[in-house]
Amino acid sequence: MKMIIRPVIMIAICISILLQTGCWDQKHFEEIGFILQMGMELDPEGKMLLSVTSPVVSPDVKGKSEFLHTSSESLVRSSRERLRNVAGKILQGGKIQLVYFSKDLAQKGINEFFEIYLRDPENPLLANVVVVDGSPKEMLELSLDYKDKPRPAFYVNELLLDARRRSNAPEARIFNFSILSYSKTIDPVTPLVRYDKKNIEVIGSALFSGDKLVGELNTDQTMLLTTLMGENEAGEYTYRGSALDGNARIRKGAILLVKGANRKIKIDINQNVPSIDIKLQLKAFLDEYAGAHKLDEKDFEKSLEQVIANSIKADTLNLLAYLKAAGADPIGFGEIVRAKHNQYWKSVQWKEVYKNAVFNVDVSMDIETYGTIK
Amino acid sequence: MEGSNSIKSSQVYLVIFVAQTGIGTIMLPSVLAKEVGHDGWISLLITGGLILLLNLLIVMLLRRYSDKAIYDINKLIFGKVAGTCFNALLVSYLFATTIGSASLFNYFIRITVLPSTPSWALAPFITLPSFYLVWQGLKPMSRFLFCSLLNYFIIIILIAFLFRHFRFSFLLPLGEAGIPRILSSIKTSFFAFIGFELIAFLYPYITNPQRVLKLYVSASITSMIFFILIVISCTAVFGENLLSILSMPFYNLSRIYNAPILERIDLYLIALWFIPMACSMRNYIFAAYDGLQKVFKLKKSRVTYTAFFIILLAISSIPKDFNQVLILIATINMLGIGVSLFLVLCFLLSFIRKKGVCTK
Amino acid sequence: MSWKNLFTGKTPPGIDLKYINEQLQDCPDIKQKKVYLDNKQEAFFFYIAGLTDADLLQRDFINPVVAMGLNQLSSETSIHNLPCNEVTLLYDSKAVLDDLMRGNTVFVCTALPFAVSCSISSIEKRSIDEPETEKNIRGPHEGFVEPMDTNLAILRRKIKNNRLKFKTLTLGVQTNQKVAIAYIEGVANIEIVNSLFEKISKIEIDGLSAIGYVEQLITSHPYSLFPQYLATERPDKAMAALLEGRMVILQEGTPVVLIAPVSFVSFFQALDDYSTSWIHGSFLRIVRITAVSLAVILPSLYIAITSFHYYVVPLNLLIPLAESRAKVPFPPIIEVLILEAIVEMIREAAVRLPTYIGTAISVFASLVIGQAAVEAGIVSNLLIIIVGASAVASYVIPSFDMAMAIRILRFFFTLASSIFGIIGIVICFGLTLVHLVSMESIGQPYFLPVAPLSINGFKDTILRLPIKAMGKRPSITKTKNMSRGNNNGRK
Repeated sequence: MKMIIRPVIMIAICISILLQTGCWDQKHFEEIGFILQMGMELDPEGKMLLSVTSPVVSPDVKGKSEFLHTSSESLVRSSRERLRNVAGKILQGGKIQLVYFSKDLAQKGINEFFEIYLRDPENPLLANVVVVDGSPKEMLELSLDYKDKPRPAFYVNELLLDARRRSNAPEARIFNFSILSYSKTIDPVTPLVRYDKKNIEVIGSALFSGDKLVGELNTDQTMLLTTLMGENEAGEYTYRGSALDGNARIRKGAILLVKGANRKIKIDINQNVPSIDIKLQLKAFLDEYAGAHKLDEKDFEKSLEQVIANSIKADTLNLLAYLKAAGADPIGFGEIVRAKHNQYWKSVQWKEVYKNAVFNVDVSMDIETYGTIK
Repeated sequence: MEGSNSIKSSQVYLVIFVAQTGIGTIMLPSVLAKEVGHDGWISLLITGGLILLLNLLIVMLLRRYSDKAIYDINKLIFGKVAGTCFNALLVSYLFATTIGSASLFNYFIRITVLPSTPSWALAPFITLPSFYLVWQGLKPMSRFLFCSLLNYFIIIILIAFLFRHFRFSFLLPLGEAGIPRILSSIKTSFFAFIGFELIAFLYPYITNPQRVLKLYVSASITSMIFFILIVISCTAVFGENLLSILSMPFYNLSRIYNAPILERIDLYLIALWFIPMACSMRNYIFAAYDGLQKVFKLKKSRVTYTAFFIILLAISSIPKDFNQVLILIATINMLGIGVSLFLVLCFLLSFIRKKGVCTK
Repeated sequence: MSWKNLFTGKTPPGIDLKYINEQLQDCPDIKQKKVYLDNKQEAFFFYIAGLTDADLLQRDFINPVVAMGLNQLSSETSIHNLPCNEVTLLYDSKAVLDDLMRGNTVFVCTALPFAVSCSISSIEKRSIDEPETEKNIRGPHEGFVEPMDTNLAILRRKIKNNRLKFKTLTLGVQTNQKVAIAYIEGVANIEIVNSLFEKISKIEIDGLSAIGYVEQLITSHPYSLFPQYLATERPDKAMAALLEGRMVILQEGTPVVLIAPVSFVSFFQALDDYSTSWIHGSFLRIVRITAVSLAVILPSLYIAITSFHYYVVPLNLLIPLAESRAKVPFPPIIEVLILEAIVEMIREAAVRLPTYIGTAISVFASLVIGQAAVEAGIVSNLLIIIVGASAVASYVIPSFDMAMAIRILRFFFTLASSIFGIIGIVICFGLTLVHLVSMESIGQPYFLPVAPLSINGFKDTILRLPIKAMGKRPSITKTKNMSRGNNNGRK
C-alpha cells in the first residue's frame, strides 16, 4: 500500500505545482518596460518633474525606438505609478543605468531621491548619478533623435565609462553618492554633462557639499581632482606653459599621460587652523611634445619634469582654493581630521574651519618613457 | 532509511560554526553600528573572549559527566522533577530559537527576492531540505554542512573583490564609542555567537570526545574572525552613518559590487547565503526535535516528526511584520544568555552534588 | 502452489526414468539418445541440442561409455576416467533434470544407482566486440558478452591471480541463472563482500532478464533518482574497479556487469581519463563537471531570469533577449517544456531507430524543428541554444543511468524555478545535495570524497592526478590494503 501512496502524493504535488504557475512574484521578461534612464528636474511650478525612458521592444516596432514620458509628483514612486498608466508595459526600475539631475534640483539636495534605491532591493545601487547642465527632460527628448548614436542609455553609459577611464569624470554610482553624503566627512562628486542637438558631452564634474550642488569643474580639473582623490587610473595632463628658462624650448606645451599617482596627505592643526600638506608623486608617459628632441639628455628631462611639476602644483593650488571656497570636500580632508584629530573635529564645525585651511602642495614628476623619438 | 546520529569532533566544529554564522551575519553589522558606531569589531572581540571562557566551562561540565547530554545532567543535579522542568525549559528555548531563525529566514527571502509569494507556499518549500535532512540524522547533516563551507569561501572572495571600496579611515579613531558603550553592546554581540550552547545537547553523539574541546573552541574563534571580517568590511564600505540605517547590510555589500558582464550579483549572493542560513536553522531543528524525544520520551516516528514540522511552520508564520521578528530575535538573545549562564550554574552545582560525576 | 513445491513434493527417490520422461514432455529441444550397454541393457543420453557439441559428445562420451559396458560403469572410479572434461555423478532425478538444464549431457541407465553428467557444451555466442554504448579511444576494445563463463574467463585473463575470487549463486525461481560476485581477496573488504552476497541471495524472483533486476532489488534507496551501482560492459572498467577493492556483480545472460560500492563521482569517470596523460584526464573531468552543472542549471536559470529576476540580465543582453521573447506567446515555463519534450522525443526516437537513420533523424529534427519553432514564434532563439547546450551536455556523462538521472533532475529544477525563481533552484539544489549526502552505496557514503571529506579521494575527482600521486585505494572500498601495488607504483 505504501508503495502506491508515496508516488501518488508525489504526482499530486507535481500537478498542483504545475497548476499554480503564473502567480505571485512572476514578472515576465517580455511584459516589462525596463527603465534605463531617469531624469529629475524642477518644473516651473516648483514640483519635481520625472522623465524616464525605456526601450520599446515589440515585433511590430522596428528600429531603436524608446518610450519617453514625464510626470510631475512629489515622490518618485508616485510619479512612476502615473507613468505606468500610459506605458502599456510594467515599468520596472531594476535595470536603471543613469539617474540625471538638473542643476537647480541638485542645488536643493538630492539624497531623498536615492531612498527608493536603498530601500527596494530590486532597484540597482549601481546606477550612475549624473548632473545635467540644462534640463534632463529636454536632453532625453533630443537624444531620441540622435541618428548616429546607439540607444541613449547605452550611449551615455559608454561615454561615462570612457571618461572615467581617462579620469575626465569621477565614478559616482548611487551607492558611492549615498555612502559619501551620509559619511558627513567626504563630499560626493558626480559627472557633469551638457547636450546639444547632436551630442551629449561630458564636461567635467559637479561638486557637492553633502547632497547639495555647490560648484563645477572642467575635465582638466577633474583629472587633477581624481588624482588627489587617489582614483586616477590614466589621465591626460596638458601642460600649457610656453617657456622653459626663458629659452623658448617648449613652444606648444606637452601632453602627458599620467600612469600612476602616489599621494600623501598630512594634516596638522596649527592654532585651530588645519594646515594640509599634500605630496604628489606622479609617473607619466610623454604623449606629445613639440620641443627640442633632447629628451635623452638627463638634465633636460629633469628640467622638463620640474617645469611640469610646477605647473601641476599651481593648477592643484587653484583647484584646492576653488574647492575651499565652494565648501566642497571631495578629497576627504574632513575624514582625515575626524580620524586623526578627533578631539579637534568634535570641537569645531568642519565646513567653517575648512574655509580657512592652509594648503601646501608638493609635486614631483617622473617621465618614464617618451616614445620612439627623443 | 534512518541515518545515524553519531558525529566526529571535526563535525562538531562544523555544526557550531555554521549555527553561529548562518543567521547572525545578516543583521549584525547594522545593529552594532547603531550601538557602538564603527567600533563594532572591538565589541565582537571582547564578546568572543567571553564566549571562549564559556566554551571552556561548558566542555568542563560535560566532561564531568562523560557521555551524558544536559538533560541527564539536569536530572542528576536537580533531581527528577526539577530536572525535568528545566529540561522542558531548555527544549522550549531550542524550539523558540528554531522559530526565530525560521521566521528571520522567511523574512529575508521575502524582503530580498519574493515579496508577494504567500508564506504558506514559501515556508514549507524552503524548509523541504531541512525536513528531509533532519530525519536522516546528524551525520548526513554535518556532511551537508561541510558542503556549505564552500559558500563561505565565495563570500570571502566577494569581500576581497570589494576591497577597492574600503575606506579604513571609517574605522578610526579606535574605540571612539567609549568603554561603557562597548561593554553594553556585548549583549548585542552575544546574539552572533548563539549556537555554541548546542554542544551541551549534542555531546552524547560525539564519538571521539577527547578532541572536542580544541575543535569547539576553534569553531568559536573562526566565527569570531568571520564576524569581525563582515563587520569591518561593512563599516569600511558604508561608514557608520549609512550602516546604521541599513537593515540587511551584509546583503547590501553584494549590491554595490559591479561584476564584469553580470553587473548585478546580489541575487546570486542571496542564493549562496541561503544554504548556510538553512543549515544554521537546521541545526536548531535537529536539537529541538532531539530534545523533544529525550525529554518527553517521544518515539521517532513519521507522525510526530511531521506534526513537529507543521507546528514549527505554523508558529514561525505568526510574526506579522519585521519588527515582531526583531522582538523575537531580541528575546531569543536574552534566552540564549540565560541558557549559557544556566550551563555555568550547572557546572558550579556539579561540585556540590556529585552524583553521577565521572571520577576519572 | 509453485512449480518448486510440485517438484520437490513428488520427486521419487533414486533415478526414475519414467519420472524424468514425464518432466521432459513437450521439450523438443531435449534429445534422448538410446543406447544398449553390452547390447542388452537400455540406457539414455539426455542433452539439449543447441547447447551441446555433437562431435565431442559422440567421441568423448557416448563412444567410451558404450565401450565400457555395464560392469565397468558400475565402479565410480572408472567413470572418472572418461575423457570428457567434467564428470559428475548424480543420485536423484531432480539433480538429473537440473544438470540437464544447465546444458550438460546426462547418461542415465536404470541398472546403475547413479547418473553420469558430463559437460560438453558449445553455446552459440557473439564475438567479443567493443560495447556500442561505451566507446573509448585509447583503452582495449573488448566487451563482456552474454555467457557468464566467457565473462569470468575475460576477467581471469586480465587478472592472472588466484586471489581473484567469484562467489556464485543461482537466482531466478524459474530460470536458475547464475550470478557471481567477483572480488580480489586481500584487496576487497570481505565484510562488504559478504553483506552484498547476503543481499543478493535474498532475491527471490522468477527470472532476471537483465542485470537491472538485481540492481533494483538490492538497492537501498529505491526512490532515489540516482544510480547506486555502476553498470558497465567494459572488462577494463571492471578490472580497474576490482583492483581498487570494489566488487563486480556478473549475471548469466547479460553483458552488463555492476560495480559496487561506488560514489557519485564514479559515474563521471571514464577509462580514457586514465589511459592518457593526467592533464588530458583532468581536462576531460572538468569538461564533464561543467557539462553536468550546465545541463541541470541552464534551463531553470533561463526560466528564473525571464520570469522573475529580469534585473540580473546584463545590459547588453537585455534588448536581444527581450526581442526574442517578445514574439513568443507562451510563458517561459511552457516554452521550455515544449522544447524539452521535443528534444526528449527526438532522443528516444533515435535510440529505437537503426543507427544510420537515428543519427539522421536527430540532426534533421533538431535543426529543422528548432529553426521552424523560432520562426513560428513558439520558442525564443536563446532557448534553442540553452536546451541544445543542456541536451549535448547530458550526452557527455559516461554513464547512461547518471545521464538519465540528470535529465529527469532538470525537469524538477525547471518546475521549481517557474514558481519560486532562483529560490526554487537553490532549494532543488539543496534537496539534491541533501539526498546525495544521505545516500549510501552498500553501506558506504555515496558522496564520498566531498562529504565526508577525503583529501585522498579528491585526487581522482575534479582533477585526475598523476597515477603516481594516487598511491592509495579509494576509501569508499573500506579496504584494509590501502596502498596500490608495492611502494606506490614505483620500483
